[in-house]
Amino acid sequence: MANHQNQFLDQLVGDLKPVTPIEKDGPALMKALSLSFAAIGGYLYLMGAFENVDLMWMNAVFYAQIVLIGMTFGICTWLSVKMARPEARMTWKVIGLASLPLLGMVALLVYGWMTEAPGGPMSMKRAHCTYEIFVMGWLPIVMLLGRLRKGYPTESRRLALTMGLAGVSLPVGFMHFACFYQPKHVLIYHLGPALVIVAIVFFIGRKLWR
Amino acid sequence: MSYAKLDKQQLTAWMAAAQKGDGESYRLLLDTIQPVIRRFVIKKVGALGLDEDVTQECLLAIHRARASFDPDRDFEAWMFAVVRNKIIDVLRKKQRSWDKEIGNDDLLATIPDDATNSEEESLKDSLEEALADLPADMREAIEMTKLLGLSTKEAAKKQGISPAALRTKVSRAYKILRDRLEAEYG
Repeated sequence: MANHQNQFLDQLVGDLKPVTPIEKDGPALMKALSLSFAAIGGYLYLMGAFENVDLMWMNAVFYAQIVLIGMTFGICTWLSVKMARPEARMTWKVIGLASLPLLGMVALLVYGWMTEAPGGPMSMKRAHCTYEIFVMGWLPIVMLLGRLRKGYPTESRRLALTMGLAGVSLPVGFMHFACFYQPKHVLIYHLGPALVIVAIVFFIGRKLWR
Repeated sequence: MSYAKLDKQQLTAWMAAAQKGDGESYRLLLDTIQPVIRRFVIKKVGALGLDEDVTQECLLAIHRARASFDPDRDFEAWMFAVVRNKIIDVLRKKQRSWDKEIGNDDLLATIPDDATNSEEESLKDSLEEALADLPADMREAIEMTKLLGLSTKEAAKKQGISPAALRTKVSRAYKILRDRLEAEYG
Protein backbone atom coordinates (compact mmCIF):
# COMPACT_ATOMS: atom_id res chain seq x y z
CA MET A 1 0.00 0.00 0.00
CA ALA A 2 2.89 2.34 0.84
CA ASN A 3 4.33 1.58 -2.58
CA HIS A 4 1.02 2.36 -4.19
CA GLN A 5 0.84 5.70 -2.35
CA ASN A 6 4.42 6.49 -3.34
CA GLN A 7 3.65 5.85 -6.98
CA PHE A 8 0.65 8.12 -6.72
CA LEU A 9 2.72 10.93 -5.18
CA ASP A 10 5.36 10.42 -7.89
CA GLN A 11 2.65 10.88 -10.52
CA LEU A 12 1.51 14.12 -8.92
CA VAL A 13 5.07 15.45 -8.79
CA GLY A 14 5.64 14.34 -12.39
CA ASP A 15 2.51 16.23 -13.43
CA LEU A 16 3.63 19.44 -11.68
CA LYS A 17 3.67 22.52 -13.88
CA PRO A 18 4.27 26.11 -12.78
CA VAL A 19 1.08 28.03 -12.07
CA THR A 20 0.44 31.69 -11.35
CA PRO A 21 -1.21 31.99 -7.95
CA ILE A 22 -4.65 33.54 -7.78
CA GLU A 23 -4.68 37.33 -7.63
CA LYS A 24 -4.93 38.79 -4.13
CA ASP A 25 -8.40 39.81 -2.95
CA GLY A 26 -7.78 43.56 -2.73
CA PRO A 27 -6.45 44.16 -6.25
CA ALA A 28 -8.99 41.70 -7.71
CA LEU A 29 -11.81 43.56 -5.99
CA MET A 30 -10.57 46.96 -7.14
CA LYS A 31 -10.20 45.69 -10.69
CA ALA A 32 -13.72 44.22 -10.76
CA LEU A 33 -15.29 47.33 -9.23
CA SER A 34 -13.46 49.94 -11.26
CA LEU A 35 -13.62 48.24 -14.66
CA SER A 36 -17.32 47.42 -14.33
CA PHE A 37 -18.02 50.91 -13.06
CA ALA A 38 -16.09 52.55 -15.88
CA ALA A 39 -17.53 50.35 -18.64
CA ILE A 40 -21.19 50.51 -17.63
CA GLY A 41 -21.07 54.11 -16.43
CA GLY A 42 -19.20 55.16 -19.56
CA TYR A 43 -21.71 53.51 -21.86
CA LEU A 44 -24.68 55.14 -20.16
CA TYR A 45 -22.91 58.49 -20.07
CA LEU A 46 -22.43 58.32 -23.81
CA MET A 47 -26.12 57.45 -24.16
CA GLY A 48 -26.98 60.64 -22.28
CA ALA A 49 -28.33 58.96 -19.16
CA PHE A 50 -26.97 61.56 -16.75
CA GLU A 51 -28.52 64.68 -18.26
CA ASN A 52 -30.70 65.43 -15.24
CA VAL A 53 -28.33 64.21 -12.58
CA ASP A 54 -28.42 67.47 -10.58
CA LEU A 55 -32.17 67.27 -10.30
CA MET A 56 -32.07 63.61 -9.33
CA TRP A 57 -29.81 64.10 -6.34
CA MET A 58 -32.39 66.43 -4.84
CA ASN A 59 -34.75 63.48 -4.37
CA ALA A 60 -34.07 61.74 -1.06
CA VAL A 61 -35.67 58.43 -2.09
CA PHE A 62 -33.62 58.31 -5.25
CA TYR A 63 -30.51 59.08 -3.25
CA ALA A 64 -31.27 56.29 -0.77
CA GLN A 65 -31.87 53.80 -3.57
CA ILE A 66 -28.60 54.61 -5.25
CA VAL A 67 -26.74 54.16 -1.96
CA LEU A 68 -28.48 50.82 -1.31
CA ILE A 69 -27.82 49.39 -4.77
CA GLY A 70 -24.23 50.65 -4.60
CA MET A 71 -23.81 48.80 -1.31
CA THR A 72 -25.21 45.63 -2.87
CA PHE A 73 -22.75 45.89 -5.74
CA GLY A 74 -19.77 46.51 -3.46
CA ILE A 75 -20.57 43.82 -0.88
CA CYS A 76 -21.57 41.12 -3.38
CA THR A 77 -18.52 41.76 -5.56
CA TRP A 78 -16.30 41.53 -2.48
CA LEU A 79 -17.94 38.25 -1.40
CA SER A 80 -17.62 36.80 -4.92
CA VAL A 81 -13.94 37.71 -5.03
CA LYS A 82 -13.32 36.10 -1.64
CA MET A 83 -15.29 32.93 -2.36
CA ALA A 84 -13.00 32.01 -5.25
CA ARG A 85 -10.62 30.74 -2.54
CA PRO A 86 -11.59 27.46 -0.85
CA GLU A 87 -10.91 28.59 2.70
CA ALA A 88 -13.26 31.57 2.43
CA ARG A 89 -16.40 30.05 3.90
CA MET A 90 -19.53 32.16 3.83
CA THR A 91 -22.70 31.21 5.64
CA TRP A 92 -26.17 31.86 4.29
CA LYS A 93 -26.49 34.43 7.06
CA VAL A 94 -23.67 36.48 5.52
CA ILE A 95 -25.24 36.20 2.08
CA GLY A 96 -28.60 37.22 3.56
CA LEU A 97 -27.01 40.30 5.15
CA ALA A 98 -25.33 41.13 1.85
CA SER A 99 -28.66 41.14 0.04
CA LEU A 100 -30.38 43.34 2.65
CA PRO A 101 -29.51 46.61 0.87
CA LEU A 102 -31.07 45.26 -2.34
CA LEU A 103 -34.19 44.22 -0.43
CA GLY A 104 -34.26 47.70 1.10
CA MET A 105 -34.20 49.22 -2.36
CA VAL A 106 -36.98 46.94 -3.55
CA ALA A 107 -39.01 47.81 -0.45
CA LEU A 108 -38.64 51.53 -1.23
CA LEU A 109 -39.74 50.94 -4.80
CA VAL A 110 -42.76 48.85 -3.76
CA TYR A 111 -43.69 51.48 -1.18
CA GLY A 112 -43.35 54.19 -3.82
CA TRP A 113 -45.51 52.23 -6.20
CA MET A 114 -48.22 51.51 -3.62
CA THR A 115 -48.39 55.05 -2.32
CA GLU A 116 -47.94 56.57 -5.75
CA ALA A 117 -45.10 58.60 -4.39
CA PRO A 118 -44.41 61.59 -6.57
CA GLY A 119 -41.38 60.88 -8.65
CA GLY A 120 -39.74 62.86 -11.37
CA PRO A 121 -40.50 62.05 -14.96
CA MET A 122 -38.35 59.46 -16.59
CA SER A 123 -35.66 61.60 -18.09
CA MET A 124 -35.26 59.45 -21.16
CA LYS A 125 -38.40 57.28 -21.23
CA ARG A 126 -36.28 54.42 -22.40
CA ALA A 127 -38.18 51.42 -23.66
CA HIS A 128 -35.14 49.22 -24.10
CA CYS A 129 -34.07 49.06 -20.44
CA THR A 130 -34.73 45.33 -20.26
CA TYR A 131 -32.19 44.57 -22.98
CA GLU A 132 -29.62 46.94 -21.54
CA ILE A 133 -29.84 45.42 -18.09
CA PHE A 134 -29.54 42.02 -19.69
CA VAL A 135 -26.43 42.93 -21.68
CA MET A 136 -24.66 45.05 -19.05
CA GLY A 137 -25.35 42.65 -16.19
CA TRP A 138 -23.00 40.08 -17.66
CA LEU A 139 -19.91 42.27 -17.65
CA PRO A 140 -19.15 42.12 -13.90
CA ILE A 141 -20.12 38.44 -13.91
CA VAL A 142 -17.69 37.62 -16.72
CA MET A 143 -14.93 39.51 -14.88
CA LEU A 144 -15.56 37.54 -11.71
CA LEU A 145 -15.69 34.30 -13.70
CA GLY A 146 -12.20 35.09 -14.97
CA ARG A 147 -10.93 34.93 -11.40
CA LEU A 148 -12.54 31.53 -10.93
CA ARG A 149 -10.29 29.98 -13.56
CA LYS A 150 -7.59 29.95 -10.90
CA GLY A 151 -9.95 29.68 -7.97
CA TYR A 152 -11.38 26.68 -6.17
CA PRO A 153 -14.80 27.69 -4.88
CA THR A 154 -16.37 25.38 -2.34
CA GLU A 155 -19.63 27.23 -1.78
CA SER A 156 -21.13 26.93 -5.23
CA ARG A 157 -24.70 28.06 -4.53
CA ARG A 158 -23.67 30.98 -2.36
CA LEU A 159 -21.04 32.09 -4.84
CA ALA A 160 -23.48 31.85 -7.75
CA LEU A 161 -26.01 33.96 -5.89
CA THR A 162 -23.59 36.70 -4.85
CA MET A 163 -22.03 36.76 -8.30
CA GLY A 164 -25.44 37.18 -9.90
CA LEU A 165 -26.33 39.99 -7.49
CA ALA A 166 -22.96 41.68 -8.02
CA GLY A 167 -23.47 41.49 -11.77
CA VAL A 168 -26.92 43.04 -11.93
CA SER A 169 -26.74 45.61 -9.16
CA LEU A 170 -24.41 47.98 -11.00
CA PRO A 171 -26.49 48.27 -14.19
CA VAL A 172 -29.65 48.49 -12.07
CA GLY A 173 -28.09 51.38 -10.15
CA PHE A 174 -26.89 53.19 -13.24
CA MET A 175 -30.15 52.68 -15.08
CA HIS A 176 -31.82 54.52 -12.25
CA PHE A 177 -30.20 57.66 -13.57
CA ALA A 178 -31.59 57.02 -17.00
CA CYS A 179 -35.13 56.35 -15.81
CA PHE A 180 -35.47 58.73 -12.89
CA TYR A 181 -37.48 57.36 -10.00
CA GLN A 182 -40.47 55.66 -11.54
CA PRO A 183 -41.12 52.76 -9.13
CA LYS A 184 -43.29 50.64 -11.40
CA HIS A 185 -40.98 51.01 -14.40
CA VAL A 186 -37.87 50.25 -12.33
CA LEU A 187 -39.46 47.19 -10.73
CA ILE A 188 -40.65 45.69 -14.01
CA TYR A 189 -38.03 46.72 -16.55
CA HIS A 190 -34.92 46.98 -14.38
CA LEU A 191 -35.30 44.57 -11.49
CA GLY A 192 -37.33 42.03 -13.50
CA PRO A 193 -34.57 41.21 -16.01
CA ALA A 194 -31.99 41.56 -13.20
CA LEU A 195 -33.69 38.76 -11.26
CA VAL A 196 -33.76 36.61 -14.39
CA ILE A 197 -29.97 37.03 -14.69
CA VAL A 198 -29.49 36.19 -11.01
CA ALA A 199 -31.56 33.02 -11.49
CA ILE A 200 -29.60 32.00 -14.61
CA VAL A 201 -26.23 32.54 -12.90
CA PHE A 202 -27.46 30.66 -9.83
CA PHE A 203 -28.52 27.59 -11.78
CA ILE A 204 -25.48 27.54 -14.04
CA GLY A 205 -23.08 28.26 -11.17
CA ARG A 206 -24.29 25.52 -8.87
CA LYS A 207 -23.87 23.00 -11.69
CA LEU A 208 -20.46 24.32 -12.77
CA TRP A 209 -18.75 24.55 -9.40
CA ARG A 210 -20.35 21.63 -7.57
CA MET B 1 9.73 15.25 9.28
CA SER B 2 6.97 15.08 11.89
CA TYR B 3 4.03 17.26 11.02
CA ALA B 4 3.43 18.29 14.63
CA LYS B 5 6.98 19.63 15.01
CA LEU B 6 7.02 21.29 11.64
CA ASP B 7 6.98 25.06 11.34
CA LYS B 8 3.76 25.65 9.43
CA GLN B 9 5.46 28.43 7.47
CA GLN B 10 7.52 25.68 5.89
CA LEU B 11 4.37 24.21 4.30
CA THR B 12 3.53 27.60 2.82
CA ALA B 13 7.07 27.94 1.50
CA TRP B 14 6.94 24.48 -0.09
CA MET B 15 3.61 25.20 -1.74
CA ALA B 16 4.82 28.59 -2.98
CA ALA B 17 7.84 26.85 -4.51
CA ALA B 18 5.58 24.15 -5.99
CA GLN B 19 3.50 26.84 -7.66
CA LYS B 20 6.70 27.88 -9.43
CA GLY B 21 7.25 24.30 -10.57
CA ASP B 22 9.76 23.10 -7.93
CA GLY B 23 9.16 19.33 -7.85
CA GLU B 24 11.48 18.69 -4.91
CA SER B 25 9.59 21.06 -2.60
CA TYR B 26 6.32 19.65 -3.85
CA ARG B 27 7.40 16.11 -3.03
CA LEU B 28 8.41 17.21 0.48
CA LEU B 29 5.06 18.89 0.90
CA LEU B 30 3.10 15.85 -0.32
CA ASP B 31 5.12 13.46 1.87
CA THR B 32 4.41 15.66 4.87
CA ILE B 33 0.71 16.26 4.35
CA GLN B 34 -0.27 12.83 3.05
CA PRO B 35 -0.37 11.13 6.50
CA VAL B 36 -2.14 14.15 8.00
CA ILE B 37 -4.82 14.05 5.34
CA ARG B 38 -5.11 10.30 5.74
CA ARG B 39 -5.72 10.64 9.47
CA PHE B 40 -8.29 13.34 8.84
CA VAL B 41 -10.05 11.20 6.25
CA ILE B 42 -10.06 8.14 8.54
CA LYS B 43 -11.63 10.25 11.25
CA LYS B 44 -14.35 11.39 8.89
CA VAL B 45 -15.06 8.33 6.72
CA GLY B 46 -12.95 5.57 8.25
CA ALA B 47 -16.01 3.46 9.06
CA LEU B 48 -16.83 3.25 5.37
CA GLY B 49 -13.48 1.72 4.44
CA LEU B 50 -12.92 4.40 1.81
CA ASP B 51 -9.93 6.12 3.39
CA GLU B 52 -7.28 5.19 0.83
CA ASP B 53 -9.36 6.23 -2.17
CA VAL B 54 -10.58 9.40 -0.51
CA THR B 55 -7.05 10.37 0.58
CA GLN B 56 -5.92 10.07 -3.03
CA GLU B 57 -8.87 12.10 -4.23
CA CYS B 58 -7.98 14.78 -1.68
CA LEU B 59 -4.35 14.90 -2.78
CA LEU B 60 -5.47 15.13 -6.39
CA ALA B 61 -7.83 17.98 -5.48
CA ILE B 62 -4.96 19.81 -3.75
CA HIS B 63 -2.84 19.28 -6.86
CA ARG B 64 -5.53 20.70 -9.13
CA ALA B 65 -6.42 23.57 -6.81
CA ARG B 66 -2.84 24.71 -6.18
CA ALA B 67 -3.27 27.94 -8.16
CA SER B 68 -6.01 28.99 -5.72
CA PHE B 69 -3.52 29.10 -2.83
CA ASP B 70 -2.35 32.58 -1.91
CA PRO B 71 1.18 32.25 -0.41
CA ASP B 72 0.43 35.15 1.95
CA ARG B 73 -2.26 33.09 3.65
CA ASP B 74 -2.32 30.09 5.94
CA PHE B 75 -1.62 26.85 4.08
CA GLU B 76 -3.35 24.59 6.60
CA ALA B 77 -6.65 26.49 6.40
CA TRP B 78 -6.51 26.25 2.61
CA MET B 79 -5.56 22.54 2.62
CA PHE B 80 -8.28 21.48 5.05
CA ALA B 81 -10.88 23.51 3.16
CA VAL B 82 -10.03 21.60 -0.02
CA VAL B 83 -9.93 18.26 1.82
CA ARG B 84 -13.22 18.86 3.64
CA ASN B 85 -14.88 19.83 0.40
CA LYS B 86 -13.57 16.74 -1.38
CA ILE B 87 -14.77 14.43 1.39
CA ILE B 88 -18.26 15.92 1.16
CA ASP B 89 -18.09 15.51 -2.60
CA VAL B 90 -17.10 11.85 -2.37
CA LEU B 91 -19.78 11.14 0.23
CA ARG B 92 -22.44 12.75 -1.98
CA LYS B 93 -21.39 10.60 -4.91
CA LYS B 94 -21.37 7.47 -2.74
CA GLN B 95 -24.77 8.33 -1.33
CA ARG B 96 -26.19 8.62 -4.85
CA SER B 97 -24.70 5.30 -5.93
CA TRP B 98 -25.92 3.59 -2.74
CA ASP B 99 -29.40 4.98 -3.19
CA LYS B 100 -29.39 3.77 -6.76
CA GLU B 101 -28.10 0.35 -5.81
CA ILE B 102 -30.35 -0.21 -2.82
CA GLY B 103 -33.39 1.50 -4.29
CA ASN B 104 -33.45 0.13 -7.83
CA ASP B 105 -31.56 -3.08 -7.74
CA ASP B 106 -33.56 -5.08 -5.26
CA LEU B 107 -32.38 -8.63 -5.77
CA LEU B 108 -34.87 -10.13 -3.36
CA ALA B 109 -37.81 -8.42 -4.98
CA THR B 110 -37.05 -10.11 -8.27
CA ILE B 111 -37.98 -13.49 -6.76
CA PRO B 112 -41.77 -13.91 -6.62
CA ASP B 113 -43.23 -15.30 -3.36
CA ASP B 114 -45.34 -17.86 -5.19
CA ALA B 115 -42.60 -19.11 -7.49
CA THR B 116 -43.91 -22.13 -9.26
CA ASN B 117 -41.53 -23.12 -11.98
CA SER B 118 -38.41 -25.02 -11.14
CA GLU B 119 -35.98 -22.32 -12.27
CA GLU B 120 -37.50 -19.72 -9.96
CA GLU B 121 -37.58 -22.18 -7.08
CA SER B 122 -33.97 -23.08 -7.67
CA LEU B 123 -33.02 -19.40 -7.80
CA LYS B 124 -34.89 -18.78 -4.58
CA ASP B 125 -33.09 -21.69 -2.89
CA SER B 126 -29.73 -20.41 -4.10
CA LEU B 127 -30.49 -16.96 -2.82
CA GLU B 128 -31.53 -18.29 0.56
CA GLU B 129 -28.33 -20.32 0.73
CA ALA B 130 -26.25 -17.32 -0.29
CA LEU B 131 -28.01 -15.22 2.33
CA ALA B 132 -27.32 -17.85 4.97
CA ASP B 133 -23.62 -17.85 4.03
CA LEU B 134 -23.30 -14.09 4.46
CA PRO B 135 -21.53 -12.81 7.57
CA ALA B 136 -24.12 -12.41 10.32
CA ASP B 137 -24.08 -8.60 10.40
CA MET B 138 -24.52 -8.34 6.63
CA ARG B 139 -27.34 -10.85 6.61
CA GLU B 140 -29.02 -8.98 9.43
CA ALA B 141 -28.63 -5.69 7.53
CA ILE B 142 -30.28 -7.18 4.43
CA GLU B 143 -33.05 -8.81 6.45
CA MET B 144 -33.86 -5.65 8.35
CA THR B 145 -33.92 -3.33 5.34
CA LYS B 146 -35.37 -5.65 2.71
CA LEU B 147 -37.39 -8.32 4.45
CA LEU B 148 -38.65 -6.47 7.51
CA GLY B 149 -38.86 -3.15 5.65
CA LEU B 150 -37.06 -1.06 8.26
CA SER B 151 -35.67 2.29 7.17
CA THR B 152 -31.91 2.68 6.91
CA LYS B 153 -31.96 4.88 10.01
CA GLU B 154 -33.95 2.34 12.06
CA ALA B 155 -31.82 -0.59 10.93
CA ALA B 156 -28.61 1.34 11.62
CA LYS B 157 -29.84 2.14 15.13
CA LYS B 158 -30.57 -1.52 15.79
CA GLN B 159 -27.07 -2.49 14.67
CA GLY B 160 -25.52 0.38 16.60
CA ILE B 161 -23.81 1.86 13.53
CA SER B 162 -24.27 4.97 11.39
CA PRO B 163 -26.75 4.95 8.48
CA ALA B 164 -23.85 5.45 6.07
CA ALA B 165 -22.05 2.41 7.50
CA LEU B 166 -25.24 0.37 7.17
CA ARG B 167 -25.64 1.39 3.55
CA THR B 168 -22.06 0.26 2.89
CA LYS B 169 -22.81 -3.04 4.57
CA VAL B 170 -25.96 -3.59 2.50
CA SER B 171 -24.14 -2.57 -0.64
CA ARG B 172 -21.33 -5.05 0.03
CA ALA B 173 -23.81 -7.78 0.88
CA TYR B 174 -25.55 -7.16 -2.44
CA LYS B 175 -22.28 -7.44 -4.28
CA ILE B 176 -21.53 -10.78 -2.62
CA LEU B 177 -25.01 -12.07 -3.43
CA ARG B 178 -24.87 -10.83 -6.99
CA ASP B 179 -21.42 -12.34 -7.60
CA ARG B 180 -22.54 -15.66 -6.21
CA LEU B 181 -25.78 -15.79 -8.21
CA GLU B 182 -23.97 -14.70 -11.37
CA ALA B 183 -21.41 -17.46 -10.83
CA GLU B 184 -24.21 -20.01 -10.51
CA TYR B 185 -26.58 -18.74 -13.20
CA GLY B 186 -24.33 -16.70 -15.46
